[in-house]
Amino acid sequence: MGKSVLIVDDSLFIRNILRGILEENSYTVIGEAASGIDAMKKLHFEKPDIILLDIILPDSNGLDLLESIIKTKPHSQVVICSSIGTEPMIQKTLDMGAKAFIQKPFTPEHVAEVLSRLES
Amino acid sequence: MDLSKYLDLFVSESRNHIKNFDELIVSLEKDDNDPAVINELFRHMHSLKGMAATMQFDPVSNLAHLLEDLLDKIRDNQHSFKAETADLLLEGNDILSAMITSIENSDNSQMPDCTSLAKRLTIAISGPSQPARQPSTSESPDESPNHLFRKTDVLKSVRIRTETLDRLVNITGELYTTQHQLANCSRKTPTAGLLAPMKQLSTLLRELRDVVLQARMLPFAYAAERFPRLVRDLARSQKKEVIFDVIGKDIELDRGVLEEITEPLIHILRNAIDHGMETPDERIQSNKPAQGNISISVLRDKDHVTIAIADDGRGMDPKLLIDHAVKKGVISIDKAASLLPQEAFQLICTPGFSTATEISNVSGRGVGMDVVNSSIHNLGGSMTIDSRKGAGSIFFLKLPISVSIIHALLVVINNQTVAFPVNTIDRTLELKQDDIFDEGHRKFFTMKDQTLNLYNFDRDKYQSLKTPPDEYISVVVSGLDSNPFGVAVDQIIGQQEIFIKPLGRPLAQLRSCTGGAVAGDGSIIFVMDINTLK
Repeated sequence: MGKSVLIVDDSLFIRNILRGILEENSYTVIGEAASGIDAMKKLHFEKPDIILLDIILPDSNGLDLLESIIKTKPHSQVVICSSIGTEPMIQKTLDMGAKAFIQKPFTPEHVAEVLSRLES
Repeated sequence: MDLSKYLDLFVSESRNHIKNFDELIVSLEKDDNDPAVINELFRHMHSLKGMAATMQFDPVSNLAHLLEDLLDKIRDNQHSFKAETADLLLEGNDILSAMITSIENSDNSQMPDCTSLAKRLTIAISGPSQPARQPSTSESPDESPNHLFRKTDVLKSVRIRTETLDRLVNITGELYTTQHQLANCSRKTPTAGLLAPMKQLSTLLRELRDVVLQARMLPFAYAAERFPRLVRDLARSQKKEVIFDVIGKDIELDRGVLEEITEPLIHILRNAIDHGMETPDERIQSNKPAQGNISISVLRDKDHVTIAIADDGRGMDPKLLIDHAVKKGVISIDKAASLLPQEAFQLICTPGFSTATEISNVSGRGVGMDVVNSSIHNLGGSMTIDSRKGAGSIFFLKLPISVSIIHALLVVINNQTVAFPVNTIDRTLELKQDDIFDEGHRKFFTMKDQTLNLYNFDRDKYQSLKTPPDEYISVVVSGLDSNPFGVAVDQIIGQQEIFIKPLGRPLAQLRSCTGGAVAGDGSIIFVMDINTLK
């Protein structure tokens, strides 16, 4: 079984596309969350290897959520998936502890490549 | 990868963004300075752009990008929002809508041309910059020609008594009430030339409110500084090992909110250690590390913060909670049978419910969860609980950043106007009688594939929700992040800033009323806690 992934994005469209890409590449999607609170809840009870995290969420600041995840879920690797791909923002999330940044819009190949580069 | 299977979803989600964008522009025209609305508009265009780019619909993503850029300029005060700006944004939104239709019909000949609009947008984006809003408070006072402060006035900060700050908030709140009264008069007797100063008054008031409320803000650390010691001492006294973390200490809340939530937070922490956390031996037996984890995370959003208190202790068993509640007479057997696990966790907040099997020196102290819950509701906040047996519990407190002057949704029920704090409402919708179905005594409707309970504000009328089949029923939806439900109301008026005052006795004892505000016509608007209407 491939690595387990939790997808956090408020767009059902993006979640479905990401799920499609992940499943095609033998990852196991263990859940999806559409908001920050939903993500925290799922993360409290599941331990995914990878968290794909959008930083614009309807109920909470994604950077606050990132800080909380990095500190409380050290076993998960966080990959940011966002369209705010300015250099300072990318650097900030990486400095905070995210492992990689996927710029939206993405291609399936790019997502697969970024995830395959994560340490096992 | 074949993207075509995502086309339907793309079309429906895009339509949603376009519809919301349209509504928000219109609301922004009424109130051209609301940064929250501008941000919301930006978010819609931003999402649409990203989705279209993923699907490789370049005309859509290019146009959305231009609209997003213009909104960015408005947000940064580099472009003023005028009627012409609204026209441009709405025209762009209309073209996007037509583009989506052409994509939906797979008919490229229908794809509208936006060259002319793109040119105008580019001009607007790069055009002469013009500050839209008043200078922000952070600017130094000597930029204002009317107020030349003495050169010796070099101190950056002064100490102000908290009573003075409270008084400033009160005066600002009263000004809001006066503004509503003025608006009411001008609606009744339209007077030439009143519109512009009224608009200016509204802008200045919002700025005054922001400054005054900001002055009362304190970082969460102010309340949390004693938690680590408290957790350590409690854990040690019970021979438990706990690693405790507070994340988001710098996030600011109103001093009043912070003061009110400190005790409830301590109580939740005490419970987590006393009842939630196992001893190191028990944990090892359950294949867990000997040391347990408790964390508090603070997350902010537009006008509220969420505080999550999580522990990886033994968790709660919904079945045991339900049995206990029935035994204590807190709920009937009938009700118990229909409770969802989600709802079972909320039982611990019911008065008369206590799961402590023995009185330890910890559980015997302090307030019960029912008091915790009502303190949070009194602040206009809400609490949700989730737990899994063996894996721990997580409590979410959703709190307004400020308590006294809030953004509220006004609705009418039985000719009475009442207000819900906007941060407790997720959305509003209109249902037809056909959309509502019964199951036993309960009424339900579906929203986005979810079945939601529908409650009627007026319990008597609830028995016979008789609306002609072709008439719409307005519904306010809350609790989307945990336990969503709808409340039927007679009419939705709209959003407004209101100044809440505490209620005196005996009204203060009403669980569902958290305060009152004075409307423009002098009548009282009660502020309701929507969670108590379930």
